[in-house]
Amino acid sequence: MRDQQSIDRREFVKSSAAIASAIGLAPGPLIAAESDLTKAFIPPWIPKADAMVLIWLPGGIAQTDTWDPKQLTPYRQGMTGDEILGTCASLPTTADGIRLGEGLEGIGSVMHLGTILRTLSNKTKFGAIHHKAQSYMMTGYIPPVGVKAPSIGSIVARTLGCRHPHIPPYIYIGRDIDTSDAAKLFISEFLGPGFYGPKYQPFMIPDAASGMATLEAYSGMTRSRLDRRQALLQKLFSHNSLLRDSPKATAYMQMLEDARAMMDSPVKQAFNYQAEESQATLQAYMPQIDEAELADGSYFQGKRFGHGLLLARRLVERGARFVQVEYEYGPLKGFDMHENGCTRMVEMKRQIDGPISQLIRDLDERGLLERTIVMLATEFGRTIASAPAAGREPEGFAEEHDGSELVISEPKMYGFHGHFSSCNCLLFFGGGFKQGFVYGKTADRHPFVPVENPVRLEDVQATFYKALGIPPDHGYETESRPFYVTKDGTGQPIDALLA
Amino acid sequence: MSSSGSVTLSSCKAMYHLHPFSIPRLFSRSLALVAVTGLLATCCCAAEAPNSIGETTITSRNASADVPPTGTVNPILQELARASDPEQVEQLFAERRRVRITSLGKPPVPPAVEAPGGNEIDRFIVDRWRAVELPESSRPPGLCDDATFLRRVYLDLIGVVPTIDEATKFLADTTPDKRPRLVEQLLSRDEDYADHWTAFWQEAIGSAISEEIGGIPTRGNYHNFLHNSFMTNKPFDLMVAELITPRLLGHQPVKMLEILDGQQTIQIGFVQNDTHQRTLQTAAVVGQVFLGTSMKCASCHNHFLNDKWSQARFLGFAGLFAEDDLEQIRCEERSGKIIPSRFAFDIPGAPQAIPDDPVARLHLAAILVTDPHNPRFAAAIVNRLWSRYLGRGLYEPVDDYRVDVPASHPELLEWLAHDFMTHGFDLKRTIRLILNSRTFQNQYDPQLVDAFDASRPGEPRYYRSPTLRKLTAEQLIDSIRVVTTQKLEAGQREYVNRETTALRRALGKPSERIEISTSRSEDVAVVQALELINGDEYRELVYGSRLVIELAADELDPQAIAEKLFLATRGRRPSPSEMELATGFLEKYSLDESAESQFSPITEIPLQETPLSATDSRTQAVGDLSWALMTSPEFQFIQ
Repeated sequence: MRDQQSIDRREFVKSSAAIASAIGLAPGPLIAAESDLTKAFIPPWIPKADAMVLIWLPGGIAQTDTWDPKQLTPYRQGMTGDEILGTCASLPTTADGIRLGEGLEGIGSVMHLGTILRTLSNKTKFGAIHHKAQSYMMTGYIPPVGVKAPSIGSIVARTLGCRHPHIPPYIYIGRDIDTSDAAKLFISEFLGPGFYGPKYQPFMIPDAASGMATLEAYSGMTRSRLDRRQALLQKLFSHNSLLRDSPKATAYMQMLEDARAMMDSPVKQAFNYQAEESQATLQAYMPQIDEAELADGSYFQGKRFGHGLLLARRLVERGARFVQVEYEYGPLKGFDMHENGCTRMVEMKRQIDGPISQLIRDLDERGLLERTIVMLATEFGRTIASAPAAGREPEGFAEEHDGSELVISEPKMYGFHGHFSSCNCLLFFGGGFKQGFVYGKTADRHPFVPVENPVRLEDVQATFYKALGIPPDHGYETESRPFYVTKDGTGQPIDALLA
Repeated sequence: MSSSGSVTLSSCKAMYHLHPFSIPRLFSRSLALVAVTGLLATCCCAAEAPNSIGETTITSRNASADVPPTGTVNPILQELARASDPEQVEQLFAERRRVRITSLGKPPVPPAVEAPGGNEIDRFIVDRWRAVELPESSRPPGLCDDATFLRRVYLDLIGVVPTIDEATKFLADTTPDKRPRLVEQLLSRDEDYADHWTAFWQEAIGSAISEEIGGIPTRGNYHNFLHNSFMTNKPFDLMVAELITPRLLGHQPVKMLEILDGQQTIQIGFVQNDTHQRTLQTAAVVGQVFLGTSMKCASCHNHFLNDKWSQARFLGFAGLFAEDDLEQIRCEERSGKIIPSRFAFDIPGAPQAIPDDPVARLHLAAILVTDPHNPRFAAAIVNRLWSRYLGRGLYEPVDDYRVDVPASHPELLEWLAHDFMTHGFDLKRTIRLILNSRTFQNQYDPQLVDAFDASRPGEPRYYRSPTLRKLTAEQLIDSIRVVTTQKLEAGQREYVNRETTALRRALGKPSERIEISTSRSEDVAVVQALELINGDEYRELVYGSRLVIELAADELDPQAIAEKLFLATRGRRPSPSEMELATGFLEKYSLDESAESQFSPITEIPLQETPLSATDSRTQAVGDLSWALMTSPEFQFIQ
């Protein structure tokens, strides 16, 4: 495994060096960027992980019903908010002393392979604002930043490059691309490369089931026609004696060649999962609930999400560096629960529990988990709302209130409908993280603030970057100043999380 | 253009050691754990703030001895603030400018060297070649051919390639002044010219589609403001002043927007000063975009790349954009110390008293930013123009002019700035000067292109060849539309399209403009290449086009088809060898009925399994040739 890695890495370095040396003569700031690529980043220590899968579950997951269960307090008409500690029972897992919310039996069965971080706490309170918190989670900087901050995937892609020369270093599964909706436009910005530029853009795969359209010639275009068309382009290019010697133009032509080569590469086989995987495996990556059974049938991303995870596994097997899989965010949909939280949470768990646990099991069985970090994240935790119109709490409200002013007058108010920036849970499997481990402790009563080991986001980032071999103060220059991979370069790895 | 090298704190240190000033102890990691509330939200020092470095200010290069005394507010300014009619504003502004310009020093005199076929600009350039004894001083670099010139000025001035008619006409023109006439013609296509500029400035000032997204305020939508300003070739100083001061008629008022059911109020406007952080961001944007001066580093500690920028100097400048003077907060620690507001540069004869009234402060800020005696304002914009058309600024980076990194041609920069100011901050005038220079019209030569390397900022630049520039997403998509429809429809330009798609993202068009940006990366990536090879949108643009269909349907011979396609995509006729290549391709594949039995996915024709007819294979071959021409570097770059 390690040998294969280093060969791939050398190959990558070689191919990028060829491009970069071509660009070496190129004018302008390009040089700085490219010559750094030529040098190839060398981790200052031996990394524990080579790849990462980020399972992104935006919407704000109620930690108390999932990763940090509290006492079950059943619905009673007229109860007050502070009485609601948990809307589900907790269950033991395969890890000693770790309990998860009911409905997470699958993840419970692989918990001995993972770490739960229960006390990610932000000083900035996001109030009602999902996008701001999501952007923060993805980039480590609170918008507006003053600079286009790159996302985690782009940072890893730029710093570590490809693991396999023909598999893009940052692949994003499960989000629609084409949109003119302002909020979605913003989302696609903060998932992107920021000032790193299009080179470190994610490969977007909206739906695993439809594959990656641009890896296929369009219908009616045969391979031979495609190749003669490209050969014609090459010949036309060689007629221009000045451009022929231009490093920029040559690099552009090389990119077209690389793209053509990718059409025959293993990345494409990865999409062929329907034919290659067994029925049992396909089934294991399916949600355990049907669209028809949902209270709100208008929003069901479970199947797309599950298949996204299966595709992620197949991509990691073939040499992907960083894959992000999203349960596509929709305001007030999915994990963004502002009423009926109790029942919605049951439905959501039935959509994600099977596929996530199957991914962990598959990676483990294939010996890939050891060198692959799987991280689960959401933008913030949840608490009791201040009022029936949940989600409208002023900034910092949840930290100072225990919900005692809120009378739960009907079942739909029963659940965790308030945003909680002070506490958020993250899960890590593999890639050098401890196994069967919990870090941080929160209060058992409202407000559920951290009582032991609160951690900052930049430190969490420093931790997984450390596992990948990236120093927290590694950075790239923009506008003539350095911009670091963790906020201001100040992230401190939490060594307690690493094995 | 990404000026981005990989840095770590240690390599950072090494890099800064190249600069002639000392580096304070700011890389100490001991105090790395600072509070989380951001100022600019990004601090670049990654550690403790250094002690204050001595304050140094930059004095106007143009200052002459006989400047009027400072102190009293110019009566024109007071009138300006009260003016109620746009023409009156413009007149008053011009009057103020005129008064201020009279006290400017004399500009450098263009060197007395011969620069055949060029203008004053070239004399500065050639003089340098002589001084360092470059072979080009006796044997000038080649002049770009007509087709290259044609394409350059079209893309540079209106953002698209010429149509076949336009190209044919220009190529056939034998009059000696056809190049300057073409520049003139394009400059007078107001709508198209404004469209092309608006795309750039929207990004540079952060003009956004939406006012807020999830509570994050944008700077508002300046599309109309910008477009009108360029349509009318508004004096650049007035345009910038209007952006800043509410006292001018053209100003788009700041809007207080209630969000989240009225629970929060946010400020939508170019100047945002409702919080300390937003005030600093506003000041930093003005510094970067209009003064070519990067100040962000100085927002939370002394600028450690540039000892001319202490934090106090930045806060003094930022205070002009605030309701009141600003408190010094060092790397997120409040000091309780209030920094008196003060403009960042010494401007002889400019009002010094800082009013209490916030509107008056902004008015003063606008007046000072655009003052002819401000050493940065005119220099920053003429340098931006230079960099836009030659590919590399007279100083680099264009957003960060530093005293310790001199411009490659300081006299030329000063001369251009002076000329620009004394001609009413007329952008078109300076653009005309640059485009009509021989320097702009040099042939592209990869051996002669200048480089800029951030770690060796002092490397000379000679401008013997322009830089190869990648078309922006907007230039590319609009140009393909012109190629395929043979017309340019105002209102249909790509920059007004707010939809983000795979192709647009791959080409580097930003989805939203919450953050400002004055440059785009020219990198190409496999994602982009795949979109060009297999993407549906690109296929639609190229193959679904009228041109392809008509050319295939008409009874034209391969030579005629090739000639049309070359004229449409390259603004020239094919060379004999290119003609041979193109016709060879068309002949071989358009008659090849046995070729592929699958149908070409031209949108106009329903997609079904039918045998390939002769017309279909012709369409395919013409489409493929068009694809190759439009996907080739000659089309994708400005040469």
